[in-house]
Amino acid sequence: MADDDLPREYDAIVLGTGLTECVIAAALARIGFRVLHLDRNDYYSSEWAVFNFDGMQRWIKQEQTRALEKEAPFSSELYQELLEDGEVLIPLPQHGTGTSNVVEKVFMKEAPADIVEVEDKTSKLSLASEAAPNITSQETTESSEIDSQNVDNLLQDSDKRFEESVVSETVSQGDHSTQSQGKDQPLTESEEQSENAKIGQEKNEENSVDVAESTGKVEEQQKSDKTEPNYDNVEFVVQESDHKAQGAGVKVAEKEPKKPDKVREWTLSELKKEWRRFNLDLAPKMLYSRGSLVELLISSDIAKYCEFKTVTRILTHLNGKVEQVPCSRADVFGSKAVTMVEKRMLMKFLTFCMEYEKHAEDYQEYQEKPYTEFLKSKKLSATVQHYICQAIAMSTDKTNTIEGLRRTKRFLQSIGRYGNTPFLWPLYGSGELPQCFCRMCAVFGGTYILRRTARALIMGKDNKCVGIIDTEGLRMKCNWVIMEGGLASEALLPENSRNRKSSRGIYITDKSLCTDDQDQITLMHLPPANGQTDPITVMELSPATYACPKGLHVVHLTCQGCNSAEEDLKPAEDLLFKPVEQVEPEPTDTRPRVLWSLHLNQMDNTGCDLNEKTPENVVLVAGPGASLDFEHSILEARQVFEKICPGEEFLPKAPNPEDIIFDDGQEAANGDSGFEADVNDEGADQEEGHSQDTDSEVDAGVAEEGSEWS
Amino acid sequence: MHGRLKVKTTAEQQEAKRKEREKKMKLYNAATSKIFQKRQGQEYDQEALELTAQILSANSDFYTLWNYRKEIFLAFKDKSTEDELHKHFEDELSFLEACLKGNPKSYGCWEHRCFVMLTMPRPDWDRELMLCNKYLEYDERNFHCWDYRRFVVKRAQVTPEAEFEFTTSKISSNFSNYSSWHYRSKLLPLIHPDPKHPGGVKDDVLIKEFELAQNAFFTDPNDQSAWFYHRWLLGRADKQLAIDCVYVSRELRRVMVRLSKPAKIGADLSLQVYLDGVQCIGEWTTPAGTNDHSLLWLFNLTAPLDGNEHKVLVAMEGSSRSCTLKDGDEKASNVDEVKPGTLFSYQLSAATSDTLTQELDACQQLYELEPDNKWVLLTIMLLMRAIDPLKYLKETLEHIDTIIKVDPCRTNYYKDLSK
Repeated sequence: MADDDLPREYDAIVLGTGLTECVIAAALARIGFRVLHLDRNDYYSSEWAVFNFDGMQRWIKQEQTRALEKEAPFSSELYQELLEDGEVLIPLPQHGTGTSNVVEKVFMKEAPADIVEVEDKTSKLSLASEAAPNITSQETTESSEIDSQNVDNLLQDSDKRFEESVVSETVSQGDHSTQSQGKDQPLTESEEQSENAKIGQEKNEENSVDVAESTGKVEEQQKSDKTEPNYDNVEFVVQESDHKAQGAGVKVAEKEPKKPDKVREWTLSELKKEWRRFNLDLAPKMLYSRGSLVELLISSDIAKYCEFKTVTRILTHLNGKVEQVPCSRADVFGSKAVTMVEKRMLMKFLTFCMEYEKHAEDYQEYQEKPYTEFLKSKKLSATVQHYICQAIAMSTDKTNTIEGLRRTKRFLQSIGRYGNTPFLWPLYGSGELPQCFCRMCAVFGGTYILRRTARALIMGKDNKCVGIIDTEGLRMKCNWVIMEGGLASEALLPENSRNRKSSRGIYITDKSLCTDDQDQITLMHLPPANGQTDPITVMELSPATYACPKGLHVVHLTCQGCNSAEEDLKPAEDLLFKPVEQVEPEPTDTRPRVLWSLHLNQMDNTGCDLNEKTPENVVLVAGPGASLDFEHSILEARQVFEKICPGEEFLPKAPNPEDIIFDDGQEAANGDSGFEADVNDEGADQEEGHSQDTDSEVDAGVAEEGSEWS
Repeated sequence: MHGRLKVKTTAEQQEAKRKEREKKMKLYNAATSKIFQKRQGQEYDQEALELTAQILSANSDFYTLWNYRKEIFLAFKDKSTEDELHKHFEDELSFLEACLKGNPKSYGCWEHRCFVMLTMPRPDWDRELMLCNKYLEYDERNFHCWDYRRFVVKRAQVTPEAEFEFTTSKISSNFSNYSSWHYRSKLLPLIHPDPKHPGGVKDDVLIKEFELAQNAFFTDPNDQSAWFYHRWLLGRADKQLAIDCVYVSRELRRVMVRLSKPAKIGADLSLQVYLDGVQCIGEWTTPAGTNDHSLLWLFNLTAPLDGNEHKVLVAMEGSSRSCTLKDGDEKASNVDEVKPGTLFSYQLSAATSDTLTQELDACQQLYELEPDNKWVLLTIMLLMRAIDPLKYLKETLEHIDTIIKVDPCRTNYYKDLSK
């Protein structure tokens, strides 16, 4: 579809593909709005995005360029002929970004043979990124070679591996390469999207040519390599066979504890070879199993587009050690860290929290006092107090009792629905979720264009926005504009909107924070450090989430930002990781070593009313913010939807294709293609075990266990 | 609004559904009557398999059809090669799996699976074990599957140790699981038999099990499953079967015995009666005239008892007791001397009395946290009675009062306990 065919009139234009924008876009399209959804980037999910290692490198470069580039002055004369009488333009910033202080560091040797000292790459970064294009294509060659060899070696290995081999094909076919790596359900839908988004795709196609060429080379290289397998591959296969042994041990009766991990020494070049196996989130978040996002995914049936794993454990830092917090009934039963009596006291207190509102007399006098005091008054042991306050209520010494109880209850309510912790983690990263909503929007006729955004809003006579001028200089009419707050100009934003920020750190580490015999997905909270009031969130993702290759872990630290992310997170890093400056750490130090890190600050506008100054039909929505969950985003999306179309149902389940009545040709064609794709997907997306799925599975009692606390 | 999807209304949908159902009903009935016809005509063919498969996949509880399929397979058995047969049975196993997916608690399916596994030429028991693991992961309390698992385990020759580990893993994921606890109680005496008490379990192993049960009931004292297991652990040193009392009545020409615990003569033991050294022939009956487990048993002598002195000896394996009816006496008895109040303490062996005291301490601790929990109270009473009924008499009585208040539905049971 060329630009000429692109309709110029919409009910709503959505700018930015963060979660909130995508949910709103889907909800509007679902009830028949004509939606145009633009994103200035060549990837989905805006500040919520997830990247592989290569994509992350490109993003770092892009952000650093954007921070330096100067905004070209806006001249409205260019667009005069597009305007009608009385219309004026509000220009939108093109380079502004909600992200700042992006710092990448590498703590690995470049290549296996190198004897180069551990170096801080920060200073060299701009140099390295200049050289990037060349490096990238080379890397692509190398890594696809590795992949295909591994696939050969592991033909009999699990489905997962099979999927990945499929995926490498996908990538070489050149679908938006930053998005579709490592996914198993890519394509019916994104084909449709890419039709709409062709313009945005040009660059990707160029890339894909590179990849395709290099695949050709790969085969030759492979032949020559066959006689002399290189050392890296051998080692990788060893790890795999280890995994295989575990897989065969499905007979639980024979479960053997995994041998203590021999920590592999990684180099940067080895890591880069595995670039596709990373899924690094800019704004990782977890879902409460009974939270509003899970309910929405189920009620709208969008759950069929995504997959989840349950977060497997909650850790805490206690007496200088990282240990597991017993929070479900099964955990408490199995815990060796607490005595029998403590178990009873803990369970008793948690049961009380489930219906604390009914026992106001129990906490009344503590309501405004710190939660910790209330816990003390309940004669709970110090250990149990720590578990409840820090790990379960995720609060601090200052949190008051009523808030502490509310948080404890929220945590407990979600336990037992899908697993032993209250949380779900989206496979391939939480940056996948906005795309699931885009998909629903596209099924209902939404148009997607990447690498394009609005240059300016067109304001009509009565201070209403009548449309936009896009970055290609086209005039698009619309009734509503919904946009990511970070994209708005100062003129539209309230004064306090840039006051808050969140500090984030992403770390690739060589082992888990607390090693045991399973692949864990971990959540942990640390008490606030200098100047902060809220705890620091720690998430650790094992390779089982596809966040990283085997043998590595990804840790995300998030806290509210007081200074730069680097400064804010330093105390937590010191606590969790081996000191980076020490080349030969203490042998008794069992903490993971950081191999690579990225720090960044994101603007956090979740706390303010963004729409004080906006025209009535322009809505700004917040970015991800520092919170652990998605609650704010879903609530905001609902509110915006209610404002735009009061009384309409928010994302009802897509109707059964059989129940749709087609009465005019055009609509039939439209709906038809959408729903065909829909139906075909359903079979492929059936997930076992942990994924929360459609009703039928819930009915069978397979996926859902029901809350044990209620 | 423009572009909005038009969807059939509920009434239209219902009507469509009703029609659909009607159509299905017709097909179902037609297939069923066809199947019955074929069965009558003893037609054991592929078509019959297909027809029954259609019905069974919709309704796997249709026993008759499973039976028909058995007949078909038995007929196949006579006329197919081993490989053909194996193929048929393999297909049947996958079909069963599909049925079980829809109805994991269908008696018919599991039963038919046993039949297939026993009848097929080369059964793969290990695969069946995996299947059980899978189903117990979906629902760890599916007793149908537990049942089938035991059937498989026997044939797959899984060691009791491995099965014990399996129960441990199931219990740690959810300890409200009678099947697992019960399985444990059956496995423990096999893995760690106590040389001193046949059917018993070694003390050191028991202590670990006590700890596990404690962990469960401290975590959730209202969950019965762990308490029942705890009770099994406590009651394991059940006293040996013996003859506690022999009574002879001259007028009634009758011998009565009281056993140390309820038992069923003929099944649990055999008792012989010797009158003056000569074995008597006759029937044992309970006072109620039933043939059931009982403490008391009656035996009618066929020979008349004259006025002279007679010696009656009642013997069982490993124990006997005699009683002499003196010249002129109407009746005589020989009773085991029992210290008053210790009657019930025999239920638990002296060897574990340290353990009992520890268990009592633990329960007392729990009692302080949960003064109104009936399971705590009940267990405390049982333990006190086992250790020293007299010493704890006062406390036991108080607990009885409390427990009757907490759990009035079982008032009489608790009153009986206090006697």
